[in-house]
Amino acid sequence: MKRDKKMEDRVAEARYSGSDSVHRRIRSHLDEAWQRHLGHHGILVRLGIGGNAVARLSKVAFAALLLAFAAVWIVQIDRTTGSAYALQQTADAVGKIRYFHFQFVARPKEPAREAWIEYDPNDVIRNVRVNFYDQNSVMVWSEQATQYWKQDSHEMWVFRDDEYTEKILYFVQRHDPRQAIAYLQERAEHGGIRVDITQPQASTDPIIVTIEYDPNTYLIGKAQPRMREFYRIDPLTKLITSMDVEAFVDGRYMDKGTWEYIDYNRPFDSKTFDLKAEVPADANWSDTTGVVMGIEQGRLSDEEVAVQLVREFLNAWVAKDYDKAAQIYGYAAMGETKGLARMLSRRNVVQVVSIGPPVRAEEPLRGLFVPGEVEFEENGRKAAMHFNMQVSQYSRGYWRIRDLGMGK
Amino acid sequence: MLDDLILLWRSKRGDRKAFDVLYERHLDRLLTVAMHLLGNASDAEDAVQEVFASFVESLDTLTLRSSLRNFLAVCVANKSRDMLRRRNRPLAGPLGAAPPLDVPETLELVVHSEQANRLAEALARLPYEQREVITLHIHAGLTFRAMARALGVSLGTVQSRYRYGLNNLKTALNGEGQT
Repeated sequence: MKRDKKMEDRVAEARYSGSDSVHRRIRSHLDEAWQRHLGHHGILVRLGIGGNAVARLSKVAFAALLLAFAAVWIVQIDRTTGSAYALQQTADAVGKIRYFHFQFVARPKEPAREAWIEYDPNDVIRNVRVNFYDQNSVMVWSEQATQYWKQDSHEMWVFRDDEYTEKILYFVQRHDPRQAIAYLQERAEHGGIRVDITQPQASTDPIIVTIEYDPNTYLIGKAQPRMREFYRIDPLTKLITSMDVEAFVDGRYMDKGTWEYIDYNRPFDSKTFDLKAEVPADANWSDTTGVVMGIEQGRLSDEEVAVQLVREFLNAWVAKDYDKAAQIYGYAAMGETKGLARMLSRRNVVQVVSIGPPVRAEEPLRGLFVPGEVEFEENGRKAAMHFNMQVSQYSRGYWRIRDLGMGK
Repeated sequence: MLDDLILLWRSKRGDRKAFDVLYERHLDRLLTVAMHLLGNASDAEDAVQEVFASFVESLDTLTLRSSLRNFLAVCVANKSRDMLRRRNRPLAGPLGAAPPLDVPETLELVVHSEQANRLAEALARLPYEQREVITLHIHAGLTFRAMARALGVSLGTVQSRYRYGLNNLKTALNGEGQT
């Protein structure tokens, strides 16, 4: 359809903005709706639907959300290239692909990570596998649980953790072509990145899409320099074949590595997402999918549950019930829990002196910080130890400690 | 900047701060859509308020079939249609038949200019179906294909409504904007 860009630009100028009073009125109305939303959590808890069940529900909902992102791939038409190549063409090309296989090649040329992503027929992300060659570990995520095989320590963890799921989904969003294109379009709309498309003269040469990121906008919550990505697009299939990453350091761009997209839509072996067949029989297994970590929020406010969590943890420590303290701490994997229990047993905490008040963490950190003081005994002498524990919700309705914040 | 996907995920888990970021991010865009569709600031505010409230209350069970931005825009469009029907206002009328814009100072054009005012008024006089696709495409960013799915009409219908709408706008603006 022939576009009338001049007229469209004029229409785009006719934007409205609500006054402060409009914002206040709508927000006030939403406060009531929000309380009902939170109340629904309470009902689920009162009905005895456990935290894991609640977490599963929310994961299902979120998987559906992701599915939606992939299913209806609505991306604004890139107008920078007129009738030539537009990112929408790549979005359309990957829209029906269910199997993605790609790897990150660090410098020097060695695969550091390799990933497999599978969507189900309804476009829900079903499985994600990442081989961390640089860490000798393998992670397989599905809605039911995450499997994590650590070859060096010979440990196999199986766990459910919403925050970990969030990280996996973020990884998928940044590097799975189905998600990445829309992500870039959204980012471009909100500022902070610039998109440039170069279409070569020769029809067989790759199309190059350059993305420039302002400092500290490349990855959520990480301080980073100005970054640049070069997507190579196959001119025939419109699929991404590779993506180079560069960081602006010491006045020039430095090569950080390349994402290579190996296969599109080649179904994976059924064992790809089941580590049982790969992990040695004598590996140390730790399955915490049925174990409640941390404490349940119930009707407590965030501030109240934060203090309660720290209090229960410290009381268990003082009572020398290290296993309980470690469980309240709330590591995702049993192996870490045991390690923490051993560490706690080496410090003879005899009394809780003070806890709180908690302070909400600033983005990108999450949860709250709970300061306080305990007294410990060493070589017959008592001494004070200050802490500033970071706590957060890890699964809906359940909180755990993220960092003891001691000795800092 | 956290993207909608993760903010929505956090909102579902009860993170009000995350929800507030989403709210701030989408509010003015939705007010713009509602204002163009309803032509009345008070109605536009009501429509957006109800859509946000429904959105919050359905967070637990929400299943999206589009990006959050498009989902909310389509909700506002549907709500606007419902409101107009309930109030027996014409959805589609001949050019020039719609009531004049009612824009109290609570809802203001971002770009204050005579041109923008004239454009908004001309847009308000378009038949509803035409200003709906124009608004959803230009102000909410929906593709024609997505609009066809959301509105339950063919792609060709959406494109022709859009084309006729822009032509009518040009006519109303006395030929301004013609290329």
